[in-house]
Amino acid sequence: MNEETEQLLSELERIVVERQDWLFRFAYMRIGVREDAEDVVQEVLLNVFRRLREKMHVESLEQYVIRSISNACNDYFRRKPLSIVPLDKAEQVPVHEGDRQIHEEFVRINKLLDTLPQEQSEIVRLKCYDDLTFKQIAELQGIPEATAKSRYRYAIMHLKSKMRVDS
Amino acid sequence: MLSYNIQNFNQVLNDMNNENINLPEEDFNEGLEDIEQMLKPQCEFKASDTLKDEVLAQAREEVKPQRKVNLWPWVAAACVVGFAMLWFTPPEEKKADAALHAHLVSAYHTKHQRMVSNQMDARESFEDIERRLRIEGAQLKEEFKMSNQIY
Repeated sequence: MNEETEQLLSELERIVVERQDWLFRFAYMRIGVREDAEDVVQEVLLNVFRRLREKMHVESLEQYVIRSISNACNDYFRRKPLSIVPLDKAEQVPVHEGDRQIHEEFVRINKLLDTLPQEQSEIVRLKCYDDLTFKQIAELQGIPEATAKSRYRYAIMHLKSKMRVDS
Repeated sequence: MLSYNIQNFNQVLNDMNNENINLPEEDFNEGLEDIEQMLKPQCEFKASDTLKDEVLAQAREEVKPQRKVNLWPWVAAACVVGFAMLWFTPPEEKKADAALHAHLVSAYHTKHQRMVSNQMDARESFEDIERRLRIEGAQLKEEFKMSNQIY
C-alpha cells in the first residue's frame, strides 16, 4: 500500500472518530434501529472515503457528509417501507438493554414532532437535534434560507401551542 | 414557564402552512429557549465500538490492488482440454481388442501375400493350380471368419 493510500486511510480514520457518533445519532433519530442506523452510517463513511480518493476538496466534505447521511436515511425508507413502525407502537419495539435510553429519546422526539408537517419537523430536527445552521439546512433541503427560518418559526409556534393545550 | 397569547392560538394553527404571513416577534421568542432546550438531545448517542474497525477494514479492502491478469479464460481453456481428453481417450478394453484385430488382419495379409507369391509348379496343369488355389482360398476364408468370430 503506497503512502498516498495510507494518508487517505488515516484521514478516513480521523473523520470516523470525529463524526461517527453524530452520524449515528442522525440516522438513529430517523430510523430507530441500531443495526440499520449503523449500516447507513457505514455506507456514508465509505462514500466519504471514495470521495477522498477522488481528491474531493476538504471544505466541501462537511456538507457532503450531511447531505449523504440525509439521502441515505431517505433511501432507507424507500427501500424498506414495510419496516416502519407506527409511533404509538414504537415504545413496544424490543431493543437491547444498552439502547433503551436512546430508544426512549427517539420516541420522545418523534412524539413531539409528530403533529408537525413533515417539512417543518425535519427542519426542527436538523436545527435543534442535529445542531445545523439555517444555511446548512437550506442547502440540504434545497430551499432559501428565509424559508427554512420561516418553517422553523411556524414549527416552534405550533409546538408551543400544542404544549399549552396539553398542559 | 410557557406563556403564550391564547388569542393568537387558532390564528397560528390556521397559518401553519402559509409561510408568507409574518408572526409577531415577541410571540415567537417567548419560551423559545425552553422549547429548543427540550428539543435538544437528552442523552449520549454512541455508535458501536466495531463500527470504526468495520469501516476501515472495508476501506482497506477497496484500495487493495486488484489482480490485473484475467485468469478465467485460461481456467476455461484448461477445462475444455481436460474434457476433450476424457471424451476422446478410448477405454482400456477397447485398446486391447483393437490391437488383437490389427494383429489378425496383419497375419492374414502376410499369409495371403505369401500364397499369392507361391511359385507355380511347371508340371502342374492350369486346372490343378486353380483347384489348389481355390481350396487354399476357402481355407483362408474360414480362418478369417474364425478370427472375426473371436473378435
